[in-house]
This record gives sequence, C-alpha cells and structure tokens, in this order.
Amino acid sequence: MFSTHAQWINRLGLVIIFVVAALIIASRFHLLPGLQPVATILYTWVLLLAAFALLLGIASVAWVHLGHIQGGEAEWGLSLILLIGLLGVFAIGILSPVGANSPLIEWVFDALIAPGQASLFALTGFFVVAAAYRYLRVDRPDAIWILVGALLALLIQTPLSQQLLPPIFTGLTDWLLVWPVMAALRGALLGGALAVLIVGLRLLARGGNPRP
Amino acid sequence: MTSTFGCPHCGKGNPIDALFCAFCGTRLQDVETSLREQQDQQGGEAADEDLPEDAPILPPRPARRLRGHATRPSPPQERKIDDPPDPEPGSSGLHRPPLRADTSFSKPPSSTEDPVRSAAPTPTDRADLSIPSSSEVPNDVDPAELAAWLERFPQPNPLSTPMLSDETRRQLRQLFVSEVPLAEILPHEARSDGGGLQRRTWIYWLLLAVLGFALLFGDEAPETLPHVWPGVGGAYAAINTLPTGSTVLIDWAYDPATAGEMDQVARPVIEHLIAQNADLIVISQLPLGPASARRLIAAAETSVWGEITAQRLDATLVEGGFLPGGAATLPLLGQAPALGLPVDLQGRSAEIRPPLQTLTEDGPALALVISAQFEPVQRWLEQVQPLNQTPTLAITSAAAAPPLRPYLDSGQLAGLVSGYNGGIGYRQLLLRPLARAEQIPLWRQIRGHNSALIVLLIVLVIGNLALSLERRSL
Repeated sequence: MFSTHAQWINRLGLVIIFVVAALIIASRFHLLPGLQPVATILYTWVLLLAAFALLLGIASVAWVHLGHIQGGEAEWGLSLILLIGLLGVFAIGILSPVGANSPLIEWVFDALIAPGQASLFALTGFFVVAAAYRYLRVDRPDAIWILVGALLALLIQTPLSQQLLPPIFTGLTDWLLVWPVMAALRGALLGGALAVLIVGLRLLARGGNPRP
Repeated sequence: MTSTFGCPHCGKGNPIDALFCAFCGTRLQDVETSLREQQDQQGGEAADEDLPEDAPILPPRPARRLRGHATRPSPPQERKIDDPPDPEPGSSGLHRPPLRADTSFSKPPSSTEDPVRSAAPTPTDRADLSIPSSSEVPNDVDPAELAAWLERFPQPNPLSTPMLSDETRRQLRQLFVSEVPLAEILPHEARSDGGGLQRRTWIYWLLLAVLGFALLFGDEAPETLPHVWPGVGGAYAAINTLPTGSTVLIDWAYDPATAGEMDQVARPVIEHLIAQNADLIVISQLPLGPASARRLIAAAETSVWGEITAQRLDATLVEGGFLPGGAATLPLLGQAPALGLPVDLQGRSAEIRPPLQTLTEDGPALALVISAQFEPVQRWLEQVQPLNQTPTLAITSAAAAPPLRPYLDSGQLAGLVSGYNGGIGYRQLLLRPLARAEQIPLWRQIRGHNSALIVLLIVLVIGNLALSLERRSL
C-alpha cells in the first residue's frame, strides 16, 4: 500500500486518508452542519472505485490466464476452461435481451455454480470431524473447556439426546449462551473494535510505517 | 524401555540406533562413524599416546553413541573408559561419553551437553570448537572430506550469537520442546497409513456412511425436533406487526456454498413476509447473492400462493443486484438509498418502481440481513442502522449466532433466527406446514444432521480414548 521509495506519495496518501476519515466522522457524529452531502459524494466515489476494481480484477484474471495459455505453462488447459467460461457467460449476458435473467445463465448457475460451490463447502464437514478427533482432546486445560462447551452444544442440538437427557440441560445451555458466553463475546467485540481503532490511529500517527 | 540418547544439535532424545534425529533431522550416524574412523586411523593406543593427557577417550565399539561434549573433561587418572561420567546438573541424565579435546573437528559443533549452549560457546569452549589447523590434523585424514563433513554442522559465530544464561537457554529449549514439536512420532514407528486409531480414513468413511444412510432412508418425520435458541419469537413478532405493503430492505449475504443450511433458515421468514404482502428490495454484496435470492423467493412465493407467475414475482420483488465496495458503500443504503439503488436489475428507476420510491422517501419499514456469517450483520448494524434507525432482523447460520447475541440483548437487533433449527421453530410459529414433497428433503436433512452430530460425538470420545492409549504406549 505504501511506497518504499517516494516519501511524498506516502505523505499524500496519509493526508487523503486523514481528510476523508475526518469528514466521515464529522458527518456521522453531526459535528459540523452540511457535511452529509459531502459524505454522500465520498460514498458514491467509493462505489465507483469498487466497481472499477472489480472490473480490473476480472481483466487481470483474464490477462494472467491468457499468459498461461500463450506460454504453455503447466495446467494451461484449466486456464483455457476458465477463459472460455468467463467469455461465454459474459457474451450470453450481453447478447440476451433479458440480461442476467437469461435462461442459459440460470442454467449455468443451477447446474454448475450452485452444485459446485455446495459440494466444495460440504467437504469442510469431513475436515471439521477429522480436526475434532485430533485436537478436541483433554490433554491440555484449555482444550478441556473447549471440549466441554462443544459437547454441551452438540448434545443440546441433537434431538435424540433431548429425549434422553432431562430438560435442565437445555435450560443450562440456554443460560450459558445468554449470560457467560454473551458477556465474553461482548468483551471480545468491544476489545476488537478498540484495537482496530488504536492500530489505525497509530498507523496514521507514524506516517504509514507500522514499525516504530 | 529403549535406550535413548540426545541429539547433539537439538538435544531431543532418540533411540540408540537411530540414523537421524527425529526432531531436527541431524544425521547421527556420521557423528559416531567419523569418530570411529578417526580412532581407527590413529591406531588406537598409538593415537592415545599422541594425544594430550587430558584428552577424553571414546568408549569402545559398540559403546554408546556420542552425544554431547563435556566442556570440562576429567583428568585421565580419574576416569575410566567404560564408566560414564556423572551427569551434570540440569541435564537429562543421559550418558555423555567424554571426547578428545584436540579432535574438535570430529565433533559436532556443540561441545557441551546443552545444544543451545552450542550456539553461543563460552570463551573456555572456543578452543574446543575451533577448526584445527592443518598441522593438527593427522596426515591420513583427507582434509577435503573433513571440510565436507564439517560443513554439515552450523558453525557458531560468537559475534552474532547473543550470550544467554543457562536458565534462559533451558527455558527456551523447554519452550520449543513442549510447544512446537518438530516431529510427533519417531521415524521407525511412522507408517504411511497410521495404525489402528491413528488412521483418519475411518472417520471419513463412517461419516459418509451415516450421511448416506440418513439421506437414503430418512423419509420419515423425526420423532423430536432440534432445540430452538432464543430470538426467534422476536423476529416473528417484528414481521407479524408489519403493515400490509411495507417496504422491507434485505441484505442477501449468502451464496450457494452455504445454501444448504441458509435456505432452511431463510425460507420461512421470506414466506412470512410474502404472506404479509411486503415489498421486498433485495441487494447483495456477494456476486452470487442476487441469483440465490431470486430462487429462494420464487420457491417461497410458490409455497404461499400455490403457483407463481413472473408478473407476481416482479410485483413483489425488487432486485437491487450486486452492491460492490463492502462496508464502505453500505452507508449509502442508510443515508441516500436513491444513490445506492438508483435502478433495479432490469434498469427500472424509482419512478417506475414504487418500492424504490418509498425506500428513498421514507426508508424501509424493516431491514433483514440474511447471512451465513456474523460479519455482514455487524457491518449493517454499524454502517446502516445508525443512519436510518430501521428495526433490523438477523437470519444467520448456527455458527454466526453467538457473536450476535450481544446485539440482540442490547436491542440493536429486533430478532435473531439462527440455524436450521431456528427455521424449524419459525415455521412452527407460522402454522403453515410444507407440502409433502418439500417435507421429505427437510426430514432427510434433519436426520442427516442429527446423524452427523452423533458421529461427531463418537469421534470425540474415540479421540480421547486414543489419547489415553497413546500415553500408555509412551
């Protein structure tokens, strides 16, 4: 993000960041009148930049994989499939009168994208179970607490255990979730937000150099 | 118990006949071999006569392997070849045969028992660690071979290595030994597929078999339903009190990867909104979010009204499309919705779409964030809700619910529906059962989920049993 050669670029970037942050904060907390339209303009600029970044990313992916194909690198066939899919779906969306709601694009989504994503994500379940076998063990004191919490949550979630265990376990888990767990998470959220704020201010104060 | 000795480099214990250190990879055979060759070349007693009187003597073959090096070898008259020296304080009690002081070139770099000490030799040890000059090297030893063997070991550099106290070195070694093991099992015990409980493939096959059985034979309704966490009632009440024709802004933050669970959670809520004749404006910050939303809303419409037409769906749903920029562009939806959603996915502006006009003028009556993770909900509560003060509901996966409980407790969230069990609980409040054809997949999912949870419990128990067996074998 920060150039290591030209200091004036770093300074200019920091000035822009500081000015924009000050405007947004002043607008959000109503410190100065008439800043809301300015903040709205900044948000729209961000929207345009994000959209351009997305297009740039797509172009970069296409360029990189085109280079793989032209250079005959390893697995260039996969790059070719990627480019064909990219250009094909793009062409269908452009040429179709209904745009993204084209039946062909919907078929691509229903037959290829959705099942593929779901299958890949479903594999994580197997890894989670294998990791639970390996790491949720009582050989360390902190692991015991994690194991107890995980067992309690699993037992409550399983309908079969609800038939066997007394209702007090369900009430106990609800109580744990509402009081101690929520208290801990509340502290974690607050601490995380403060940490992000402090790190950002420190980064600005040090001129973009993360190290003292 | 197998005899062990310590590696001259890292100090970890290894079997007496190990070729390589199981933890740092140091070749152990070369240490003894080189020393043996040196001793043989020097001719035994003749070599002993040439050596200084205080030079330690190697034990005879097949004596113990050379391990560490004593910094202060005892006088020859007090020492016997076969008698191990007394272990020094703080050592692991392993035998450390004495060495020849002048044959430092045949020793590993660590001239003491403590491998950490070898990185920072004391001034008294530097003479032992120094590479001997050519005049000290026996004539029958090839200097090139000697140099090649020396290059295998790291040479200590006193100028760059900090001088650490014994206590610090001991703590450092204990830290690395206990927290960051370089190897878990010894090489001669390692098997390609593990043994017994060490095999992991049985976990995958067990889970696959249980899931397959549940999916193929789970057509019957389950006896009990899963437990519903708190927050579902608040969400139901917030939607039930909506006036007819209200504008509801939905942030669709999940894609087909997590649709297996999220569809079960979101569908009853969407059905409730459709039954309330609410106008749904859907945006997404995921590229595949709008397509996922369209499919689920179409299925919910069919469930509520029996059949669906494109006109009816178009009248109910305003597709805002994909909104790039992440958290930086979300405030537009709260501060200036007309700029955040100028047109719908079909290019029609607020002048043609009344819901968009209502969104711009009055803001939404209710906001929903349907997400598989808790970050999109958190971003919405931080960036959008403070600007328009709209009541917000969170429809999330079970994993995302705990971090959102504080927001529910503080009132920033009006309701929280989490997990497929939350969806089941919400549907019970709706009093609108699914059609038989749609109930069967839900039952299979419930049975598969329950079976997977049982498998996970079994795996946890077996894992801890394996831990106790591993400890006994050690």
